[in-house]
Amino acid sequence: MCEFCIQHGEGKKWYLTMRNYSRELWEQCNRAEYMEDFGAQFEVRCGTAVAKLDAVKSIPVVYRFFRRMAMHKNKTLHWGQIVPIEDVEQILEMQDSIVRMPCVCRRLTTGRETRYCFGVGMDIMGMFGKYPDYSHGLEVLEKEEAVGLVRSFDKQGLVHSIWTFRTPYIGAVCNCDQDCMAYGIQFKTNLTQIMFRAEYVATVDWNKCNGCKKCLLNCQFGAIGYSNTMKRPTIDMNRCYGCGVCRSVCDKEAIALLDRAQFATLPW
Amino acid sequence: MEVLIDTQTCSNPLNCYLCLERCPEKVFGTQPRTPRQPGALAQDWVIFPVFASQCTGCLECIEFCPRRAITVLPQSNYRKLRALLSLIREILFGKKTAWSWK
Repeated sequence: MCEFCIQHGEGKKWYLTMRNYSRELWEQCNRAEYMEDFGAQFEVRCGTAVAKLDAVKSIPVVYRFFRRMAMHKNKTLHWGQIVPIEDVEQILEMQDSIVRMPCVCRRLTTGRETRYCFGVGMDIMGMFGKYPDYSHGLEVLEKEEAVGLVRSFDKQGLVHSIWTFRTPYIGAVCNCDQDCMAYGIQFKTNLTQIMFRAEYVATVDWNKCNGCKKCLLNCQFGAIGYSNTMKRPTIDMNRCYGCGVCRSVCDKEAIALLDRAQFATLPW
Repeated sequence: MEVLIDTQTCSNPLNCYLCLERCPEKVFGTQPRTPRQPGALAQDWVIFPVFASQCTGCLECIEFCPRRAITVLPQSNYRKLRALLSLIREILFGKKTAWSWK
């Protein structure tokens, strides 16, 4: 159970609580306006702020202060969590509208339009329809289509994550890899924390495993190592984000996800 | 390292983006020169360094840039200070940043 599960979860995982996707919640706190501004000005706002934070990285005490402040702001405004495929399927089952849209992160980091993100539970057409950059890439999906797409992304090794727009409202399911800004900010450069790890952590069953090393290639977070003496891979639990993507390439089904909460010292 | 991009020389990166593709550390990002307006396609883009601290100084970007618009320098205290001042200004006067949209 992460911090948000206790605050917004009603005893369950917070992203499986219907209330966090409800129309009622969306109408509070000016969320529609916030989301429109978020999407339309993402490159300018996010890019500039990250570049500034990156520039002060070498000033010791000052950087710690801004890092903490950014984390606190992110938690109230736009926070994410890694979610394995089973939970994404459950999330998509709960929605009444799913829209596939262009990924804002990849527009920033690669300059290309790639449609890896899903807007859930709200009518994004009404908001992003005003911006031609986004409107021609929007596509309304059926639940089955969306689930099929997420499964194919899982096979390609993309990590699924959910994103809040003014916590606790969840508005987007993203499929990230190393081009993603969140990956860059939190994992690659460790500028600040912007998302939680999943509620799970992966372990490998050495009896089922045949040591084919396929999972090593699919881990986005560099958590899987290989012991040449034992001819088996090991998963570093401290590095594992619990995305479960390594399972999709395992022919022997040797990798399983355990509950992260049962290991008291693992980071979120 | 500090990466400087002459946005006058690199006036239309839309069909190029070679630096974004070639950089092994993914230092570069791209953004519209002016904020996006409703009903209009953002056509005027600029390249800017996002994760400049990750730059290793391999100079791959300088080699591939067709217009020679990129300069790579060691990080100067001047730039660091300017970023710091602008961050402080944002806190004091409530200017918008990525982590405070509204």
